[in-house]
Amino acid sequence: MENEKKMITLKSSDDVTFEVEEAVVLESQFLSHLVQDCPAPEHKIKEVTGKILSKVVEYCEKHVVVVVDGGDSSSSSGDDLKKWDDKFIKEMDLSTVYDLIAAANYLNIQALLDLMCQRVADVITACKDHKEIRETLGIVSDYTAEEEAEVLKENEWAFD
Amino acid sequence: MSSKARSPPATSGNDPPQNKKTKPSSPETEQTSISISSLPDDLLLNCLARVSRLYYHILSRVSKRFRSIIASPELYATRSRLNRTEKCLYLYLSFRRDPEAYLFTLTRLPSRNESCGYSLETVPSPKSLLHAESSTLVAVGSDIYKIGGGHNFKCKFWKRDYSSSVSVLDCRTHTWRQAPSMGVERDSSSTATLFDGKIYVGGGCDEKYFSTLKFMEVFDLETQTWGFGLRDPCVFRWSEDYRVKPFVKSFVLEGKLYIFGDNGSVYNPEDNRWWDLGWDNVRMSWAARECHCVIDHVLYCWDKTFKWYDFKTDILKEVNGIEGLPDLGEKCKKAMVDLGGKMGFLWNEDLDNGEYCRIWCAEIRLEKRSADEIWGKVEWFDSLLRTYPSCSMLDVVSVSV
Repeated sequence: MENEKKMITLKSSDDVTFEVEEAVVLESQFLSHLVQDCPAPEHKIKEVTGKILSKVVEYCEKHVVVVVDGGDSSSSSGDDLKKWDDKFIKEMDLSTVYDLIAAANYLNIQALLDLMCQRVADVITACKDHKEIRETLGIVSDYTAEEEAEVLKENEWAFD
Repeated sequence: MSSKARSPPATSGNDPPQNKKTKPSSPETEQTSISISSLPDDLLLNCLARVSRLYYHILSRVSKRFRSIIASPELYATRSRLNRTEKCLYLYLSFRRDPEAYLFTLTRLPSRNESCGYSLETVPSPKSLLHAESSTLVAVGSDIYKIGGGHNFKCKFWKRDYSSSVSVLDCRTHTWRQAPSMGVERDSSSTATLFDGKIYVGGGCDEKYFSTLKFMEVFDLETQTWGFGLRDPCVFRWSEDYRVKPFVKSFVLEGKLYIFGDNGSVYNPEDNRWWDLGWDNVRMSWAARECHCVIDHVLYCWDKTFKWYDFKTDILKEVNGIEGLPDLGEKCKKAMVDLGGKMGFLWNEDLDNGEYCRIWCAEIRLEKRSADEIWGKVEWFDSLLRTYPSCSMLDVVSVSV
């Protein structure tokens, strides 16, 4: 069985190569079309670095829809997959999350894009105020002191 | 399943090259080398659209770019596409001896913990709208229709000031627009309910229109036109001298529109006419007179405690298990609203011998355990606002944003 599986090689912008099963590639809409249109054994993905592509491959391998006889244990159940996703995200720094958002968008992997964007939303929600959001996400405020004072007072209910 | 990663310069697949110019450090302590600012607008939008709207006022404070994304119409299109549309609470308040009525939206304070930190933020309204206080509000998708209004206290009670004007608040952008005016002037004792793509507005008008076709008018949202057209629901009998407040209430239950004044009437769209409820559903009309709302096809009301209306038996049954709320005085004003299957419940509390007033809110999860058992659990309750005493009106709607 193993031998019958078609393998495809993906090469990152910095020439790191990944040999993956075709099924893994099909998780990405972009790569599915690429592989169908151009049946070369190796595909260069100029927009994605090796570090990020390794994460993409790791995710897609876990999420690949496995069709096996007799329900082989290699297919992950929904709960297991969610646990795996949680761990996958928690071990990741935010700069990788941003890179993965861009990569998932480019490669058109909707579930990975959802997972990463949700991570950013969760991080924002956990911040206690706008200053902590800036610090956490590495944003430099472009408000002047006066503008900021105005924005803070905006729509406040004046009583007392 | 396996993949093999090979990289040309002496690095293994498990240890991909550090091509980003970052200081070598562990992920926990690593400063983010690229910031979220490097993402294009559509991807940043994708992230922010997933954040609850309760936090949007905080997001606007982060940077100008965040502010412009929060204010963009694309944000709400993205929320809708991602199935992130939420029910958001809007509170309408007015005070005795104050000509204005104020509209607020529920937000969360920056410093918060699990169960508190809720607050209210004012919704800016143009000066031209302020004169018409005490309007009747009805939510239509992401819009609030502010219907009619009048300065009850400014004029002598026998010569009330009514308005036929209708303005609409787009709750995504907090911008107001004018809608066509009604055929009849009405004040806040009118009722407005969305039913079958139309807004049904009844009562609140001069009593000379009671028991006439002008008692109720209907706004077709598609054609944006008002019409009378319907038969009079006849909820007021002729010349009720003892009638102090000709309040009317209406709601939709089981696919039918109910309206209550002195007596109740139900409109069945199939035969296009009103039916007198008579002594049927008499407890439904009790509920309508109290603070009430419909959530997931069940009518709830406050009658010394939380109750729900059992259609089959015409009985108001207690909602079980609601604990932890403070004792609500008889005198305080109360309002309830559907927050997407949960109940938003608001009340006011005058403090320090009427020096000031607090507005409270609770969110209650509801669960129908059997045909005749509904349980509720208070998820949180919090004081939202410290304000002037003598709150004369407390009204609440929820919009989808």
